[in-house]
Amino acid sequence: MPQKITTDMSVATIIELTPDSVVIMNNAGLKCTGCNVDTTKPLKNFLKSFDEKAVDKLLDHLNKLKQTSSEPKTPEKKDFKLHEIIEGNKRYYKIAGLTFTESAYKNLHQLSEKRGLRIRLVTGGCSGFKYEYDFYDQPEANEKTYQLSDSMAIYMDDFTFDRSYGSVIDFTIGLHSSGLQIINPRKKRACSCGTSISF
Amino acid sequence: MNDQLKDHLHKLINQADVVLFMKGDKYIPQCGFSAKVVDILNEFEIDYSTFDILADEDVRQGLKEYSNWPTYPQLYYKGELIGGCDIVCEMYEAGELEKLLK
Repeated sequence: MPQKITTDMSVATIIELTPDSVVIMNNAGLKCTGCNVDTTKPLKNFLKSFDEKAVDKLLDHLNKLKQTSSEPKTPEKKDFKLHEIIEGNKRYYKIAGLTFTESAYKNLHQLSEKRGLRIRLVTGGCSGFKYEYDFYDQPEANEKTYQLSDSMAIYMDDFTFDRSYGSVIDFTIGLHSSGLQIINPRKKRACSCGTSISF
Repeated sequence: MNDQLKDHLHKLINQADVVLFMKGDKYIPQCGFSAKVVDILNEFEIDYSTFDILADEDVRQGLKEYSNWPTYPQLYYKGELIGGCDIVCEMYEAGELEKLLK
């Protein structure tokens, strides 16, 4: 059942309902997506310089967009156990619906200094969502702990878990960018550098 | 082609009901056509094996000769070559692929 988009809805909710809204809103001149924008604020906060006619036109357009199901398809059972798999001649480590490459497994262990890795999907960035990740000693209250190994924990809240299930986590060393890569197969749109995505 | 390679290829093709010879593997595809076939197979949620032909030059060249098919990806079902990305996509659109594999 498509939901009616109103100016009271947060930008984050609108983006979740229909990722194409990012393009529409940007084209209309709203500055409601971007690296430091708080998309939990309602749409009307970004329409201060718009007259009534322009607002109606925008809402009209947004409500014509096809809405994706806002319920991500995730298995009910939360995957706490580690599975090691061999595909061809490569080894992968699967836990919590995430598949870690050998490079990610090795490099994370080397860098972590026995801390855990928090992976969090937040609203923000040019396309609506982006991943934040860093090493921490403890999980937050709303996060679950998944043991990648005896010495390495992964901390994820349910919001991130539900939208990241099926992702591949790689660690690349290259000329231009090195570091953790989270390859989420569900993403429908990404900004040009790939940092920000939407579904 | 020597018998050893022929046996090896035969074993690889028959290692599972559904086997995809591709560039990269199912987790990290390394070419758009291979990635497309992986997407389709993932959608069906069936078990399948992938083989990274970029990691094995003997298989990469040998299989082309063995099956008389010049390109990758190559999808096999129960030891039979189904085809490459074009054929797989056509069959997928027509509903035939799902019927065959599921």
